[in-house]
Amino acid sequence: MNRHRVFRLALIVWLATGATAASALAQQDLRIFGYFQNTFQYERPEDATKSTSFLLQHLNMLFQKELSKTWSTYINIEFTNSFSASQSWGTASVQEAWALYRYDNRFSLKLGLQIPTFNNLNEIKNRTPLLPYIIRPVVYESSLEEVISLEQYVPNRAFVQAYGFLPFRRTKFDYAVYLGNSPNINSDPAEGQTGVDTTDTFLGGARFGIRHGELKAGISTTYDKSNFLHQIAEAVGGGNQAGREIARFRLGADLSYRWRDFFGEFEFIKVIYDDRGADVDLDLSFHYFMLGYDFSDRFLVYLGYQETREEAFFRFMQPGIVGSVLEANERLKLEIPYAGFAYRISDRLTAKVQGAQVGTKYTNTEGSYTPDNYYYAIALSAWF
Amino acid sequence: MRARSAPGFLAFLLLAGLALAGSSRAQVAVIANKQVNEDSIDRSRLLDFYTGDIRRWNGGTPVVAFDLKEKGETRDTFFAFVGKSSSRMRTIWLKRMLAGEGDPPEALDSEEIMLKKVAETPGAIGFVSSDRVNDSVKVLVTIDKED
Repeated sequence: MNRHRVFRLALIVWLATGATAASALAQQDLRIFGYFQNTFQYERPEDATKSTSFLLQHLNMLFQKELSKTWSTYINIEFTNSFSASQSWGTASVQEAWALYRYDNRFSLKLGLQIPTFNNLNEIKNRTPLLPYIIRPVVYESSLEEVISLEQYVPNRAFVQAYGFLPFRRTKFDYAVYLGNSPNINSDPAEGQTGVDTTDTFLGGARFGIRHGELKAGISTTYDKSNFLHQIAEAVGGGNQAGREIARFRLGADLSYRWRDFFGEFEFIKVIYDDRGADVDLDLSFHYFMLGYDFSDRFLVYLGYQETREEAFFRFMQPGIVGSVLEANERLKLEIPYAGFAYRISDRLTAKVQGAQVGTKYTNTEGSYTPDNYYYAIALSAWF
Repeated sequence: MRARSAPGFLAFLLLAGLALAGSSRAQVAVIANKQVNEDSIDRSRLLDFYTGDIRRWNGGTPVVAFDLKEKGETRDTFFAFVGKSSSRMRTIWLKRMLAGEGDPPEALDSEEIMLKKVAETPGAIGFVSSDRVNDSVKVLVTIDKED
């Protein structure tokens, strides 16, 4: 009898505890939030007609759920450039869908599609409410993704990342290491499953940084192998490069600092293709700096400069034609001084104004082309 | 005439001195739930708790940080002590939230509610004026408003 009572009591306690735990988890509801940025832009190209346009530059829908004390999940769906499937405007993409395991500040593990850690701006490049910019430093400007191959400069996707920081007195040493796909992703349904890596190589990357008070600095690197020469060789009818993969190194450095009401940030990126074959030379570099001042809790101004350089040289032997060589030699330099201000209307609304001059210097074997474009924009950024 | 005004003047000085002394003693207490197994905290750890860099107490209990909704002397003193303006803290919290790294501290309507929530919530930490503290919570550090 007593044993039965004890058993029933234990059963009740067990059921009650389980129910409480289940209900505690259920109480942590799915959170749906997000942000968007609408702009009005005026573009005055030197060699083309002026244009004005309204644009929904960004809309990001975020979903988050805490699964337990140590696990959480997060999804980030992004729409750019007034996305409309029926009109073929803009892009829609799942930027992130990951599960996070937090052990402690020294170790967290993020599993699933994610934007990897690279320099200071990469992870927050699309968080428009956090940025004073309307047009971000160009290699981070995802609304230009249809025009510029941004992924050459910064890694946009990884699938496994370990990160954390080690404190020493008031200084924190950050680390992040990650793994993802090589850039050789199939986009053609005729070739089979899309979105999958077609080679057996990986993207590997890391950032090591330091934080001390308002100083943040770090160095970043990635390594992967690209078979883009295969596609170029096919396009131009060359044959000797087909199938060859070229190693690519991205190197980055970042520094940001805040002193009283002044703030500033600087980044540098160098992309090196291992061109020991001497018939390919492809190097990219990018740097920017920004200096700003908080006039008040609500109003800030900034100015900056960014520069992008691309140098590309290819030489292909045409198969079947002895001595026939296809050659490309191109250089591109973009110099962009910019300035702007932002006014925080409320906790969730910010108005932004920005102007930039885009100086282009393009040179190839036939000559050069150096137009200047002027760009002005106002924007309303909101999060909800 | 002089003899009669001197005591009045001295009384005025005494009252003014007391008033000044009273204001210099005004303090903010950083309070924690009584079950928390730490008895003191320094600025950098306090900042780490409020930025979300550190999420657990030494014993492993999750940190539950509370904030006050309204701007005021207590809140300003607290954030001045940790070395960040409230607008800077707002940016840090927004960054964490949009990155899926966690929510900002829950902002409460008043110091009375703060005191009650900290007393009731395991792992809780908050801040109130020192004169509001009672024995339902433990005080980890006391901040002079001049700090």
